[in-house]
Amino acid sequence: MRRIPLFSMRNLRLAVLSAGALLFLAPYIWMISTAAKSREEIFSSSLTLLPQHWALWENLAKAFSRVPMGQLLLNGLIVCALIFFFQVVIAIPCAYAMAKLKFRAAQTMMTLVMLGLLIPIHATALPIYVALNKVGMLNSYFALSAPFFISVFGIFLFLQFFRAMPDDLIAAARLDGMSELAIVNRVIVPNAWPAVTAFAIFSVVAHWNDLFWPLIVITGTERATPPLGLLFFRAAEAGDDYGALMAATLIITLPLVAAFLLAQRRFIEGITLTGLKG
Amino acid sequence: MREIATTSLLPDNRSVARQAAIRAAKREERVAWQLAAPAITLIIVLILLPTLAVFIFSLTNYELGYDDFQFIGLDNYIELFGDRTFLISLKNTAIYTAIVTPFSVFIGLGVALLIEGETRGRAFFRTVYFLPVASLLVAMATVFQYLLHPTIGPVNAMLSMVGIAGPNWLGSSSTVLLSLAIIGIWQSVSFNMVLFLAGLTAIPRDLYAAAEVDGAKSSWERFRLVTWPMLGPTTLFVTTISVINAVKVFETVKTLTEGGPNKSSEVLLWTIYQEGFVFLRVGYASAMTVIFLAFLIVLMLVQYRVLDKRVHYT
Amino acid sequence: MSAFALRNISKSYGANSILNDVSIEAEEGEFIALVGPSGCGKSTLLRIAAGLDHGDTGSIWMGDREITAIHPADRNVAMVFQSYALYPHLTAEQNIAVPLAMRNLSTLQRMPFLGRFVSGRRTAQAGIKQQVLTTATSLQIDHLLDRKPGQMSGGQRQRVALARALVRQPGVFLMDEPLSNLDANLRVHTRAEIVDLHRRAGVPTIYVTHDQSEALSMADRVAVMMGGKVLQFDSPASIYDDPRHIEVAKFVGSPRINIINAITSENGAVILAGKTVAEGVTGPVGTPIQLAIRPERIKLRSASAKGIAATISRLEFLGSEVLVATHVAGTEDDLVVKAVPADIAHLAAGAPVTLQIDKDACLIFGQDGLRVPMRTPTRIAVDA
Repeated sequence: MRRIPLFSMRNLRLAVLSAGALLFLAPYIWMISTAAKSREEIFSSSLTLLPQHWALWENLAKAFSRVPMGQLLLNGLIVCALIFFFQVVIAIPCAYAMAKLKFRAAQTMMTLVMLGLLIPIHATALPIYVALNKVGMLNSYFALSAPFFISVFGIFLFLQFFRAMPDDLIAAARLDGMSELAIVNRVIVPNAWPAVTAFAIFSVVAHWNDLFWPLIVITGTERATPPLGLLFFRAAEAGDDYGALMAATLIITLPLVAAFLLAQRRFIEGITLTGLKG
Repeated sequence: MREIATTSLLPDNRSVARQAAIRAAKREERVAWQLAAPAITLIIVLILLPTLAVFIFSLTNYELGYDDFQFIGLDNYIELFGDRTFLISLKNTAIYTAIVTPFSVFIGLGVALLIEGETRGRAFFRTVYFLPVASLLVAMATVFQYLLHPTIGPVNAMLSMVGIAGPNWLGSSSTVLLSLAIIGIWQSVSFNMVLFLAGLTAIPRDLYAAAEVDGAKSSWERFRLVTWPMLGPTTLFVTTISVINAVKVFETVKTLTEGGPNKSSEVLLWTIYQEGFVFLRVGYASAMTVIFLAFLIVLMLVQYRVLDKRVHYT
Repeated sequence: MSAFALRNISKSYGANSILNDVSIEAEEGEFIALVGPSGCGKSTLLRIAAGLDHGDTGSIWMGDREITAIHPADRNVAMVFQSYALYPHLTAEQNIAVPLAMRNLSTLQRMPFLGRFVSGRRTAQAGIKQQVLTTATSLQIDHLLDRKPGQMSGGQRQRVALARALVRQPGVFLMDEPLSNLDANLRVHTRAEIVDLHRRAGVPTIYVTHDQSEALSMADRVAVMMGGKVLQFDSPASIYDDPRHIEVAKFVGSPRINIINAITSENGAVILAGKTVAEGVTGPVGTPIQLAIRPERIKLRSASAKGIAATISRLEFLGSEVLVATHVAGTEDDLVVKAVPADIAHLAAGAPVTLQIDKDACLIFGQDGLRVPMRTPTRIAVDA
């Protein structure tokens, strides 16, 4: 082991990284610290990290009593699960047909997918909202999830993945007497697991965090997703009780952050895929 | 004789084989359609038709709640370009994007390079810098609101310790865009860092070895010769995504400022949201959406064009 | 004093020893091949020679200059990588020019945009362009200079990589399996070309390969490496005919050398199926040894001839020759004999034959894998 001088490039690099890391962590540190402080303390000493009187439980209790936290988290879970389920069930067979079957419309489909990648929900929101309003389906799980049942990004992702799968595998399955649907279910899906997990993470992160669409179609807390619920909570608190607000923030941020800490590698893979989306 | 016999046999043989081929192709085509049908239907219903509808709405004076509407041609667009709010909104979105994009791309690249080069605590740093991507932006925006609070916020408390009177970050029209941009940078640096890290790992190690043998002594020279050009496609991607995400800024504005104070944080999606979903002027908001969509399409086209021109790597 | 030398290099990662006291030296203009199975440490040794890696102990010398601690850029070495490591964003011409530009242009002159205005850049660049063109012409790739690596075939890329190494006069050439990514035909052709280039340049070369035939056919001297050690460093003829270690004998030569487990008898004789095949093995009677014999040193005779009786178990027709696997009573493995097709006319599997073995063709190895000394030299090695 060679000795490293104190002011070497390496140590400088470590110092820069550490300082940056502290900057990145600062919001989290203060979130936790403020969630544990009493109202008086928040106003008097904002730079002290450790509270003199622990008020974490009071703040958490306030957060839970003013907004149905459990309901919010459950709504988020239901909506993400619904979206992910339909996205996968619809995208995988389509991507398989485009990747492995001879199919006159495949070229047109590719154009459709590329076009779809260009158009975000913000562009289609108005007509979909108008339509949901017409049929009286606002304020429902269906309104929250249905616009996302088709994920062209999912099709694109699975398409790339299936193209790399050997044709021989599918030929063998056909010789073994499987129907095309059986091939999808029993050969393609089990082998597409890495792509499915990566897509799951991408999809859940995107929809758990989305505010735009829930804000448009939901008006009450009953069907609100976590970001929307937090917004309601802020409105109810007039944004002043930072202790309770930070406690609520903490609860709502926790599930995804915890999932990320547990499955970091998969998470980073999934998010890296988003880069493909462009 | 023999030759005649074979030729006379051929068409028959061929037709059996050909019929089988045609049947198989038809079957395959039918199955493919069946498998793709749900996706095709939903793409049409959820993407193509709504996009078309936006174009059509934008030519009408449709307002939600009033059932009849007229086609008014390009009137909405003409009104748009005389609308002070919309113009401010365009300007603010442009300023926000112009701040967030370069900072988040270059800081993201810098952090990725530092993490890639550092062996000590690499996993720890990657986790920390990635955290914002996994966090709920609405929630983190709330935390930032507290951090930037003019009287009780830690940022101003720290500034006052060194004798600087901190500004009213989110409450004053001169600093509100900057404050939102800081939050935007905080989040996109994280995302960009991950993309750059993936790009860095894809660079063959041999290229660095070759560069060293070829005489690139300092790490700056190796960066110039290998890293920067090899990251070209990634940088382009990251820049495009950063621009698009910046143009789509909405969550922080809705949570923290609602376009204020005095329209100084009025941004494109916020304006569309207000017009379309609060004032319910669907026709007018659709015209704005068309402009927004046009921006996105131009950005993508620019990216594809640059990509085509510059990148034909192995 | 040799032109380039690696002395007593050792390297380990934790308890895992990669290189164990390895010494290799190349004389002026010599072509050295490092050969061994994958994972034997040969590529690590080459990277240490280039300065891309560092050993735990040992020193590296170029002539009388020690370069152990010198940066790769200042070592004056040129390297050809297995993956070629061409910069994908640069044309062939720019790729070949990199080592010259890095050395002949100052940092200021290489600056983007600004560099254009620094004096002397133009003349320096004209010189570089000329050198690149000369090298490219000698390798017949001058027509490819405007292409990027992505637009070239494997063989063309390989030549550009060679040109990048050749363009300046390095103190030593290092090549890391430069032919392994080429198809078989091109590989044999390029072999001869590299040897030819080496003769013309006259620069000592260290060439790493896992292909023993490549090593034997190209090099002046071959170092056979296994498990981080050099088992033998010798001329190709000595490596083939006079291996010092059974692993060397097994690694070199195709088809593989025949190995027979046996026990010494009186006078150090080795007896196979009742016939004495070797004499004068040192050590006490009853020492277990391994007898190694090359397939072409066994002669196939008709069943009536004098010698060792055997049965043909398999025939492998290779065109100009035939490999005959034969079974001798009392041995485990078949003995493979290299014969000409005429020898086996009318013979098929199951046919009885006689094997004749030259006494001086037998190599005797002890249980430790090392050659066992002979009381009377069975053979005098002839160095090429």
